Amino acid sequence: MRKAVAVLSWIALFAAAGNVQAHEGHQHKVMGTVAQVHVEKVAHVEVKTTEGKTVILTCDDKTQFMKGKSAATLKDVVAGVRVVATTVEEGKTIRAVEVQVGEMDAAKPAADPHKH
Amino acid sequence: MTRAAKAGWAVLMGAGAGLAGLGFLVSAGFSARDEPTAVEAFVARRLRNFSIPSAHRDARNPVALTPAVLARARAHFADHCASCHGNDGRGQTTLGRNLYPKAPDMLLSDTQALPDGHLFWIIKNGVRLTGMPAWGEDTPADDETTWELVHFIRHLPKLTPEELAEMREFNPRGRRDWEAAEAERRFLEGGDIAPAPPSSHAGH
Repeated sequence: MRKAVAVLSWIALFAAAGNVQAHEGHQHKVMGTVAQVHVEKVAHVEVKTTEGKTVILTCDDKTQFMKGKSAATLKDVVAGVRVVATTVEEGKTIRAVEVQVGEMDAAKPAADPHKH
Repeated sequence: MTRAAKAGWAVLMGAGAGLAGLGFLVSAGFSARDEPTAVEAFVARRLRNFSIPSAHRDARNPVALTPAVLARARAHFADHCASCHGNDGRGQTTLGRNLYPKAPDMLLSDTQALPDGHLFWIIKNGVRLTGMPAWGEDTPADDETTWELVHFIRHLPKLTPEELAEMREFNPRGRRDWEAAEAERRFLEGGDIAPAPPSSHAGH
């Protein structure tokens, strides 16, 4: 009987504790041109994708920035620059895991690079 | 209340809790997306520690650390381990984030504070009931490779962007991934604005 009680209690404990902090699924790529950058506690980068959609990426202290094979920083992410970001969806937020920074988009000259 | 009555109440309450749990299970189910509870993590860590023979736990890395050793380990890690752990060891990959338990952030002390022998055992023998397989055969060559990986895990907090970029070349990719990577490169260099569609998943 004691064993049965113990087993049932464990089931209750594990079941009741489920569904905590569920993670979202796959990583995705976002390819496009930076429209705006808002820097607050975390940075929000608005990207106009090659498919014509507007996506807002959240960049935090774990986000890696690369330019070619060299390190880059958030300061390299300015309006008009081309980016390819690896992202994950976390609730309603799209978090950038890595941002590859490319050349300035010829169709969109840089202006107002960082909005604070 | 007599002792027997108290025991009866305890049994009833336990059974009630168990039934409530079963009811919840039936209605909600389990998902590997969930974060393990603190109790599960605590128990699992203790069990993992028990799985390592004491004689091996505190073994020191017999392989001398050299740039060549680190370069080999980086390439090996990128090819074999990064699918779950990520090149940077943070576990922020599709596989790593959705395993149960999640692939750990190996830059944190939960991993970095483990002795060399402990890391070696985990790589070589895996961890039961997790996504970590047993990688090493019981051969001197495999053991050496595993010890090199232990050096690489210690190096993770100091990994440079240049090393990360180099590792990307060793990540396993299918043809579609190569095409997507090429399209991304062209785009970043100012090429076609509508390149071939990239892989919908970032892959490894």
